[in-house]
Amino acid sequence: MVNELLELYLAGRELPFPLYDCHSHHGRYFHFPILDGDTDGILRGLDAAGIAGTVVTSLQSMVEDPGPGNRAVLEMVRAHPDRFLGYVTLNPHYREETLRDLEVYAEAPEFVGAKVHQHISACRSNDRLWDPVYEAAEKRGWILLSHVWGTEEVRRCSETLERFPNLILLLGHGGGEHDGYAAAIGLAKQCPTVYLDPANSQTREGVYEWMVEELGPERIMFGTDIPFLDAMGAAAWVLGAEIDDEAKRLILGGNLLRLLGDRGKRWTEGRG
Amino acid sequence: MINGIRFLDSNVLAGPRVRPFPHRDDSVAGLLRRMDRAGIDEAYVTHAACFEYDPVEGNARLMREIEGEPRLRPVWVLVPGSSGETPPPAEVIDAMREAGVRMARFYPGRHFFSFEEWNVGDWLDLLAEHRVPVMIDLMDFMNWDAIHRAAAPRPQLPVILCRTSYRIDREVFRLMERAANVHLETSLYKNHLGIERVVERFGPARLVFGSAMTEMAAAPAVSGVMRAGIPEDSKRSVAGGNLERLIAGVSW
Repeated sequence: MVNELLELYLAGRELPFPLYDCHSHHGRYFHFPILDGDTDGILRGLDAAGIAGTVVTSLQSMVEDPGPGNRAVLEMVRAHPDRFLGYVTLNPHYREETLRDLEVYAEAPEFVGAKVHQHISACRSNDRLWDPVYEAAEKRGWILLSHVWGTEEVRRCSETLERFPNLILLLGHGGGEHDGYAAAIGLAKQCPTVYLDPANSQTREGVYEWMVEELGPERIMFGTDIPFLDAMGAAAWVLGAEIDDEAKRLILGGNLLRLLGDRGKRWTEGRG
Repeated sequence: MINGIRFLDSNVLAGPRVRPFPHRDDSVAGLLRRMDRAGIDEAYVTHAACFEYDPVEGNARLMREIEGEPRLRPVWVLVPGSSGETPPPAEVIDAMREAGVRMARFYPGRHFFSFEEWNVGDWLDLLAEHRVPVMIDLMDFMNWDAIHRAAAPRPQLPVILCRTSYRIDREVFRLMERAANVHLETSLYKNHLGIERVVERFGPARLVFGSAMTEMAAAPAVSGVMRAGIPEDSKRSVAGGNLERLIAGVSW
């Protein structure tokens, strides 16, 4: 039988709790076309998937001076404060501009974290070039979303955490494949500030069941990766998993809201 | 069945994998249980041994393991007819007819063979003659030129591209423009608003629902159809109607 929450979701009906997404993008990408990656397109995708809010990172900021991309995200968040929050996205090869944006967005209530993409920005996540980003995130209690795929990238995160032990580190894609998931789960067991976001590119059977069994549900979040991917698949992956309903509620937004604290009130206060 | 929409899954695997995954049951019984949990009514099944071990052995095991399961229908995996590992294509086609097998699948990447005319043209001609739907698995195989050369000259051959990707729009749209017999299986075509876009450009008839169970979770695939911004009739077509129509077109 289809479980009750999944049945509601597939029928397009409202769930008993709102969905909040920890991982989305704004912009375009060289490798393949991203159509409808602008604000309106992302809103269409979120609405289709029944997602109340998402934390957005700029694709443009990963590949050049991060300024224009972060400004676009700021405009997006300010235009729709009930739907979006931002990660400030950096490119460490542009050091001055990275330091500038860390300062510019440090006090902006619209930004709740930082994003590190070691592939697109061509800089391994344990490279000291990223240290100003980690320092700022640790100091401010930001969520640091880092793209993490495979055991080697989990190992690099482990190195970073030795130097920044209070960093709230969200492993985007959660390790990405079998050995990577195992390594990410192991790291999360060792480090209480590590969270896992399996994201949406490989919606493998058993991933949420495995992570919840090993870690409990409080350390896991759901990310859509929109507009690379459809957003509803990410939500349905959680809803269809063989985990209890409270675990689903936490993964689908409860954990993110808890981490955001007052910064998440921009989303929730408007909902009454 | 979800909200009155019947789901017929074109892309399901069963059988043990080289490396089991936690909480995943690759058996036929496990597959049926997963189908129930996702609201999938029936499925076309390929045996994992076809690409983990040997296609001939895998096809035989498939027939034994799904025997008596009315919700599961067989898909046979084919390899070039000249290799000697199978009987000649015409004999295999006869065996398919006798066994009630109405869909075939190629793994050119996984099975390391050229998908060009000189190597698989005999197969494709025979399958086209009988209008047997052919799935081309894109695992380790994104040779768009070869797929175009195989599909475009054979408009009567239903081609279903499976295990695709969200990164294929620069090729697949042009291919679908040029070859009306090319269909897209949905499991890994998870593009943002992608189903809406394909339906808008090509109509609903070119999409065929697939889940990629047991490797992938089924609920994301079902949600992609159910929550897509397309008319209910289009959802019915994508969820099962299109595949049913293609299968009904097989003529022995």
